[in-house]
Amino acid sequence: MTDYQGLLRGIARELLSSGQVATFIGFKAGFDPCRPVPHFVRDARRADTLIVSAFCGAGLARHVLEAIDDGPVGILARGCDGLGLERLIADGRVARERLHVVAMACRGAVDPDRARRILGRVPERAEVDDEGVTLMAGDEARRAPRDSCLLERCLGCVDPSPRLSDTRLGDPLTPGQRDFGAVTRMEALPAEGRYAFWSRQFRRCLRCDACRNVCPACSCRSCSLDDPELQERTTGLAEQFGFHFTRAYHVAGRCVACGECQRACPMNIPLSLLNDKFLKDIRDLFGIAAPHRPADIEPLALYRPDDPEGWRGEIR
Amino acid sequence: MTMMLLPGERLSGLLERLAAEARLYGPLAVDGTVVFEELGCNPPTIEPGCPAGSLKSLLYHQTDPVFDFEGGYTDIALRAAAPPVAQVIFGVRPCDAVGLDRLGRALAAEPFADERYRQRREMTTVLTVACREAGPHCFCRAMGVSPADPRGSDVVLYPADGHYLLEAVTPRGQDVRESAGKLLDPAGDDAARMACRETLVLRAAGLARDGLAAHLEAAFHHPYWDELAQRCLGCGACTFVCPTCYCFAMFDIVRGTRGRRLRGWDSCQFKDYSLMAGGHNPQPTRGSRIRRRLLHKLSRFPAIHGDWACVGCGRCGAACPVGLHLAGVLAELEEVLS
Repeated sequence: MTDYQGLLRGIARELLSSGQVATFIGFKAGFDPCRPVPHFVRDARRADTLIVSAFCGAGLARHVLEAIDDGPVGILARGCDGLGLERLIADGRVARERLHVVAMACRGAVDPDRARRILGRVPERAEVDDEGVTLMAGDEARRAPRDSCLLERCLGCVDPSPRLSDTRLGDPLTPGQRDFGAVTRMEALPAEGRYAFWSRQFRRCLRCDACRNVCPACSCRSCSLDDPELQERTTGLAEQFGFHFTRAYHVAGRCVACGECQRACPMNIPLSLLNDKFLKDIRDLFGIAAPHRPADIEPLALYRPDDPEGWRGEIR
Repeated sequence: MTMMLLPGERLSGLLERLAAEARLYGPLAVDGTVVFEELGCNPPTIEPGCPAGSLKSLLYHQTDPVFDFEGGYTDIALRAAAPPVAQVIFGVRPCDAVGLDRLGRALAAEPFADERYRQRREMTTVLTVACREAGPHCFCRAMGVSPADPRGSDVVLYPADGHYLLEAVTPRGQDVRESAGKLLDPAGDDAARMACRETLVLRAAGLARDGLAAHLEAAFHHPYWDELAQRCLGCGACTFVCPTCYCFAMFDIVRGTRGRRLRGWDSCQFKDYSLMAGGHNPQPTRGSRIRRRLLHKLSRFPAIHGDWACVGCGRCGAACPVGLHLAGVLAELEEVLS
C-alpha cells in the first residue's frame, strides 16, 4: 500500500517552506481516531500533523475561502474536493493560479457511525478497496461490503480523482456515470407519497444552515436565506419547504454532487436527492452528460442573445 | 423511595396508560434518525447514547407562538397563544433531564421567568431511562452528570434483563407509579440502579473540571480561537442540538392586517446574532463566537446559575459537520496552552 500520508507531508512541507503556498489544507487527527478534522497548516515544521486515513470524510474545498486571503493555498483534494474547487473557480471566488492541488485518488471514506454498528465498537483504523472495507479496532478486524459502511456521499461517487491537479498522489482512477436511481424511484411515487416523504424529512430540520455553510456552490458573501424579509425564520412545514426549495434552487445548475450537504446535516435529511433531481433534469432536458462537473456550458447559468424566450424584450 | 419492578412486556401497557392522560412523546426512529416525536402506538427507540435531537425541542419549541394580532396602527387586538397541554415524555436520557434543570435555571427562575417555558415545564412529566452503556459521543461523567442521574426526572427506569427497575423521584413521579398500579411488581433489589451508577463513560475522563472556568478565561486572547474558527463552518448545528442552549429571537409573520408573533431558536454562532442597530457587532469573528459559546457554558453560566451549561451528551460532536466535539476542543486547548 502506498504511503500517501508520508508523501503528502513531504509535499506540504516543500510547498510551505519554499513559499509556494501560505497555507496547506488537509486533515489532522480528531478527538476521535475515526473522525479526522479539517486542518490548516501554515508552518512547514507542522506538516507532519497532516494525516491521510479512510476516515477523512469531510469535504475540504469550501475551507479554501478561509485561507485564500492570506496567500496561495495548497490543498489535498479527492474527486469531490476537486469538483468543489472547480466550482469556486468558476464562480470567481478563487483564482486557479492561487491554488496548488494535491490530487489524491479516493475509493471512498468510511462513515464512523455505520462502521461502529458493524464492528460493535468504535473503529480505530480502516482500509477501503474496490471490493470492500476492512474495519479494525485493537486486534479485531472485520471485512464489510462497501455500501454497508462508507459515507452515503461516497456510495454514488463517480469522480474518484480530481480533474484539477498540480501534484498527484497515486494514478488517477477512471470516472464513471451517475445513474440517479433514487431520483427515478422518487419520481415514480404519487404526489401524495412524495409530499409525505419530504414532509417527514423537513419536519426535523433544525435550520442550522450546515447544508448551506458546507456547500462549495453556496459561497455568496451575503445570502438570501439570512434575510428575514426573504426567508421567514419560523419552522412551520411551509417555511421548511420554502427554505429547502430555495436552497436547492439556488445551487441548481452549479451543484457538484459532492453530497456534503447531506453529510453535514445533523438530522440526516437526504438533501442529495433534491440536488440530484435537478441534475437529472438538466441531463435530460439539456443533454449535458455530467451536469455536476463544472463545464464551459452550464445551461442554467447561460444566456444567449438568440434565446427563444428573449430577455425582457429585444436586445440589440 | 420504594423501587418497583416493571416487566419488559408490560411497558406498552404503561405507555398506553400514560397516553390516556396526556400527550405521550418519546424517542422514535424516523427514517433511521432518532428524534423526540409523539409516540402514538410506536414503541420508543432506546439506543445507547441519546437521540439526534435534544429533549428541549419538546419544552422549548423551535418556534413557539406568543400571540396573534389583528388590526391597524391604532386598534390592534391581541390574542394570547393557546396554553400548553399536559405531556409525558418517556425514554429521556439522564443527561437530557439534567439539561432541563439547567434550562430551568436560565428560563424559569425569578425575576425573569419565561412564562411559556415555565408553564410547559409544569405540564411535563419526565420518565427517564438510565444508561447501561455509553454512546459513542457521551461524556456525561466529565461534566458531573451520572448515567443514573435523577435530576430533572420525575421517574427513573433502570434497565435490566427483561425488566426495568422503576423509581419515582418526585410527587408527580409517584402519581405515575400509582396510576401504573398492578403493572408494577415489588422489586427485590436495586441491582439495576447500582449497575447504571457504575456504567463506564470513559470519554474525556481526564478532563480537569476544577479551575476550568479560570483556565478558559485565561485563554481569552489565545490565537487558538481563530485557528479553530477556520475549521468551524459557522453553522448552528451544535447550538440547536444542545440540550442547554436557549438563545432565541422574536419573529413576526404578517399577512395583511393579521399576524403572529413567534419566539424561535437563534444561535450565537450565526454572524448576525449579536449584530446591533447601527452596525456594531461585539462578536465580529467566528473565533470570538466559538469562544463566547464555550465561555458561556463553562464560565459565565456557572458563575450566574451555579452549574455548567453542558451535561456531556456529546451531541455537538455528533452533529458538527467538521467533527468539533466540545470535550475535544477543551482537550486541544489544554494542549496548546501547555
